Amino acid sequence: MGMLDTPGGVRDLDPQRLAGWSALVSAWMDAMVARTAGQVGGAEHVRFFNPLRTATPGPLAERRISWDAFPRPVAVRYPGDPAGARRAADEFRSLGDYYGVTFYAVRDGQAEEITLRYRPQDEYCEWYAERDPDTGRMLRIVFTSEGHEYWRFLAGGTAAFPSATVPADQRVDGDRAQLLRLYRELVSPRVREEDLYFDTDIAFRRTPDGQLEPYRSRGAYNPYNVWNTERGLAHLTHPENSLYGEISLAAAASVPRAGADGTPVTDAGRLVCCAALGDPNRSSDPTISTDVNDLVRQGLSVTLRDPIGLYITAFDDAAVSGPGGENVASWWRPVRGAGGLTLRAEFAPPPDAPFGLEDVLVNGLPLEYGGQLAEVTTMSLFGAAADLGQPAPAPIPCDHRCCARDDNPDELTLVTIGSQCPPGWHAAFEETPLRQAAAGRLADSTRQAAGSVRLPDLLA
Amino acid sequence: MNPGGSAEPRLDLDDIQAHVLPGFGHEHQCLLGWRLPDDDPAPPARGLLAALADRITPASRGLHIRQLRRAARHGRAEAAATTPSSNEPHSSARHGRIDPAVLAEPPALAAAVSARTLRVLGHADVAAIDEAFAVGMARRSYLRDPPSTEWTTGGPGREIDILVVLAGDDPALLADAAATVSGAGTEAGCELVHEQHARRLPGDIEHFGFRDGISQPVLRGVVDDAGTPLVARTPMPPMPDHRAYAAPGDVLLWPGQFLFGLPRQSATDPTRPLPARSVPALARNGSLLVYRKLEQDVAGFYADTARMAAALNTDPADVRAQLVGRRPDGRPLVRPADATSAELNHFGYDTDAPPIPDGPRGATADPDGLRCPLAAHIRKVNPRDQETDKGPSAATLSFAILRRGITYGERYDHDSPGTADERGLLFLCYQTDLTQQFELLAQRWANNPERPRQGLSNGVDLIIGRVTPGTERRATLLAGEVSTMTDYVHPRGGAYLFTPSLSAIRTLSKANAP
Repeated sequence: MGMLDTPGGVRDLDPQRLAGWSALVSAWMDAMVARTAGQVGGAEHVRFFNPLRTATPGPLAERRISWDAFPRPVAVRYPGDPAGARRAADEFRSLGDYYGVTFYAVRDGQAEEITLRYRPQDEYCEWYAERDPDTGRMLRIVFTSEGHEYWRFLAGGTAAFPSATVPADQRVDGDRAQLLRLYRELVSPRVREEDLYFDTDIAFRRTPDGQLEPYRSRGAYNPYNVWNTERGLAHLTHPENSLYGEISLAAAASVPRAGADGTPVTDAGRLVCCAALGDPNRSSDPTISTDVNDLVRQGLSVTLRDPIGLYITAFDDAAVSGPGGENVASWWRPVRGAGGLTLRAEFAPPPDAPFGLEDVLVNGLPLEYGGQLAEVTTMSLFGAAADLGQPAPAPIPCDHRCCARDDNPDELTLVTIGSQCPPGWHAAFEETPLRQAAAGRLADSTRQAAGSVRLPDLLA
Repeated sequence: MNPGGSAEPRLDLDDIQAHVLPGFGHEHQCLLGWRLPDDDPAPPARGLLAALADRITPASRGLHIRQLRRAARHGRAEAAATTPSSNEPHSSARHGRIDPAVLAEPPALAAAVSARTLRVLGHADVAAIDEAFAVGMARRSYLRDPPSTEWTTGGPGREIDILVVLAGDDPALLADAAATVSGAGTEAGCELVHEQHARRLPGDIEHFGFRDGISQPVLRGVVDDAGTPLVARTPMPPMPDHRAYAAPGDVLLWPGQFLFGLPRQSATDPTRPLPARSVPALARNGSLLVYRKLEQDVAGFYADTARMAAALNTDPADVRAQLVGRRPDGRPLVRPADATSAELNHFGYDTDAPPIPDGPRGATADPDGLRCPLAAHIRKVNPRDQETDKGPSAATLSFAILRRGITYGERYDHDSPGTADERGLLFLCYQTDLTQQFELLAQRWANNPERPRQGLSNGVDLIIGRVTPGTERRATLLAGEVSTMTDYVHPRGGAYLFTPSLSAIRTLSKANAP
């Protein structure tokens, strides 16, 4: 394999930048291989590989891994109240709250508190209902599965990712004109170039009286710009909805794990908690992790199929109908991504439609929220596996565990092994006395700690 | 014993309807559906419910009768009267001699109401307790059922607002009871829009010839101050699937999964409960009922599976068993053919089931469908310990339903083909979340070729799965892929209903809503 393609095989880049993108993704994969090696005691035990670096005997076996597009972490907080969950999924959240910091716009030495917003739609699928500014009527509902990295790359080239070790001869500049063209084509013709970039330096404080720390410089691409939040949707905004996160998760999930009694951890819920493989509340992370881990335990080495990306792969059009039962399946339309690898889709009436989106029924309910369509939308990524003649590595112990909220035990949070659950939370996955005893014994032994794979991109 | 460590709730067996718990095991049933008039519908609704209120069979009575019927059927009445078996519901029959008259007592009766009925009686809050219930089955388009205008049951103008289920072993007594109830409905001013007789086939098989209803969840809960569990527990070793069992194969679930107002099953922890949902008082001890009439095309099923078998160069009986996942007598394909009756439900797909001392033998797992196809009906709607697209196997427990189905129509005579008689299954099931239980199993899993098992396109459930009309249904069996344009099961309509507690029925039958 010579190069890694763009997500969805989109053709926005000239050949030089295409090579630069490939080098960037390759650098991320190399970094993940190195991190995994640190976890399992050496590169010879790593079963996650960069397809540009590893020759495989014959074609890779592919595995499609799918999950629901509606954010389960939101749904789980609204038991028995799907309408409440849909409303909550449409409400922006503060990025500062997510990271536990306060953001500031710094201009002429003066810091002014600002709020950067993201969507809580964290199953690698986000949506936006575009409305007529005069009537308020919904015009279309747009969905994307495109990570922010590609758009940051368009804005700043490889230099937008200083922590990635891209070889000097493969570093490229961004293509801001192309970025603007895409925004105008996909989001709104009214997008102005200056709307897309921070017009001041951006800094943050970890505590109210803490020091200001730099976040982004003036002129850097702003993924939380108004055309990607309040007024439109170009790419994913949730901090955990990233291409880097996908690669990171797949690599970390390639490490077999064992419980305190030495039994391999194979159950999706326990595996995610054991190795802190993303958010245990999500549909996506446990599913991706377990499927990758399953392949490794079978003695295979794993990677992600090129083009690496997160895709909108199915929409159940039987769920939607017109007010009189009319077939509106054709209102769903993929608009970005080649060969069935949909990165962007929209649900919109054709120009001659006798009724609008508000008249559409989703399983009998009037269409009010994009989340109703997300509920019948399937997301996928494509894993790939090869037998490189290496047996599965020995499992390593868990370094994290999950706690469940006392008043809603389906809501989980991660803590490191040895830490107490926060007040109002209890240990999830209560074990039998036999297993608890074994866990106690292991608690006294030395473990190799591995950090959470969800590296916040705060300073990336 | 409670492996989860949480106290199990008291079940009010005098308030819960017996059709929910433990279900009607009688040979004959008669379903009567009424529609309320468009004008002033409340008085007729109250009138009929008032007539029914004192006839409804409570769970306590249902358990008692079931115990006696089982004992009588197995010829061990005296033993049952004094010795609780390991997996029999608690019953007063344990403490006294059987009254033979109970076997000929009046038919059991259950009543359920539509969201419309609740609204017209002033209980819009209960009508809105579940989104799918409030909307109604006819509008849940992703089930891919035929349009309701084509329904023979519950279609436009024939919507079922009050459903009565009568059950008995004596057809004459049942007919008398049905006539009495029909008279009450007519007198109250309701329109009888549905009358359906049903009869269990010998051996509890369905019309395709397979034993049905083998795998049912077991409710946690106690029935008295002494903490006597509803279902006695057999000591079990820790199971690799982390679930708790009342006995081998009998997985324990928290009752709020099926009854409002009680602790619910968690989607993440198989043993620890979720708190009870906050619901209107009227909903407590009630449950949501799916009634879906499924006509079965027996001749089509046999002809099509014979065609598939010929293409795969295999036995048609094997093809049919693989579509179901069990052999006709209920033995699961995951197990060797010498499985005993105690072993029908003690197996997993992802992890080996251990041998149980003095109980069933162990069973080897079958994660990739090498003995039981991933598209087999029993795997599609109950993936057991296998991870699914909805997450860890614990989540699967939170989708479980209590099935109360019964066959209707005469058994197909293979020696006299061509009979035009209609036959099928009256699919009835209970839950407290239609979207996350019945609809998830039917729509998300049975109809989807890539779910619930991840990563492998295994096809749809060819028994009940539905696809876009005019497109092929496909499944991967052990010997290869099969496809068909033939539906063996044809949905003929039905309704989403609410089965209230006995006290709620009395409240609904009174004039003043709260």
